[in-house]
Amino acid sequence: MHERAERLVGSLVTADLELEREFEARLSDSSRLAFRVAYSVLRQREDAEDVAQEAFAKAYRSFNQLRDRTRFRAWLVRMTWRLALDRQRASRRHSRRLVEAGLLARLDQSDETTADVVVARERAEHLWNAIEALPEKLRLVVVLAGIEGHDMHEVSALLDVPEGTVKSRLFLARKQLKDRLSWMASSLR
Amino acid sequence: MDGELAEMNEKALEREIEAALGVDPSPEFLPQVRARIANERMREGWFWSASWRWAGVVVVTAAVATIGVWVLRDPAPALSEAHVRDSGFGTRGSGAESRDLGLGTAAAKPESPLSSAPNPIPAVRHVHAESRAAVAVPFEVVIAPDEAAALKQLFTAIGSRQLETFALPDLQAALKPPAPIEEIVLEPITISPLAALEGE
Repeated sequence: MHERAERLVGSLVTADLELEREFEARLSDSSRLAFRVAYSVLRQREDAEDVAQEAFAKAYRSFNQLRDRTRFRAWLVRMTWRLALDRQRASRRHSRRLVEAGLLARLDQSDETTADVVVARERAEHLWNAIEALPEKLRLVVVLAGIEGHDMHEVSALLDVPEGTVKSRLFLARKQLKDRLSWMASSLR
Repeated sequence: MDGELAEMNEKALEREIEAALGVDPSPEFLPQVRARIANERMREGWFWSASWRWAGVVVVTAAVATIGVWVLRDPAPALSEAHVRDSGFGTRGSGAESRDLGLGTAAAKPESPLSSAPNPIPAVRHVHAESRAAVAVPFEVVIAPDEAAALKQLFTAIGSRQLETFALPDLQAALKPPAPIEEIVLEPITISPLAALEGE
């Protein structure tokens, strides 16, 4: 009886450790994805990090309830997206935001002139506004397709929708973006 | 030509979007997430330890309550259930063995010990008078075993009508509560001055 109890406790501890290890692996694998999804909504590094952190904490709390662990990334993306939208709604600070972080850092490091930097910044700002103006479903497809070079198959897995749907949504999204950025399109050539 | 242009635009747009989204988190991000997870883990651990603590408190409280109820509800034998036992003194060695002498209920009733028993001698008895109040202050009368045996014989004899009980009313009268004490009236004492002293 005692041995059986010990074995049970031992197996529970082992299961816990395995769960921890698995979560750690998922965390390392998906941290950038969560951050970028949050960033695509919030466009502020600190806010995006906060939201991604919150999403991971939530994921950790419910990790043992996730039956299909291979769906972790999709689950995390949805959670992060929702949290980011909530944060965006809650804080109206993003009304007039400068495009910061990576793009600007890259521009600063390059040999481009101040005028080039200003143009690039303006272009990025327009692009973000155009993305933000997209319907939520199209927006998420564009964002996921633009992150880490995801192809259609990966996006469809992340969104849990058929590839055909992803394809059509992406087509629609790009069309709308191009329409909005028509002036930019000519300069992109 | 237009198609090529459109494709170029598409590619350029893709690149532009990728560039806009190609922002990496700060190097502190991952350690911060790990710290947060560790915090969650600790909170979870605290929750469990707190749960166990609460469970312990509940169990102890329940145990105390159960014992309390059990003690209070223990059918404390009223004086009517009191019984006479050997004291264990005297010639029969240790006398640890107790015997119920079967005095019945009336013998132990305090208010009228003689009213219903045929021979209600408020005998020298070994009584365990365990009432609720008496639980705290136990009350017992100790008698010698030979006296207890004598009492038993006496009651048996009375029960089998070998003894007449007509002489007992005297005893009954002796056991009646005393008449209320009359109030003592103290008359004031007047002390007259001594004549000799007056002359001086």
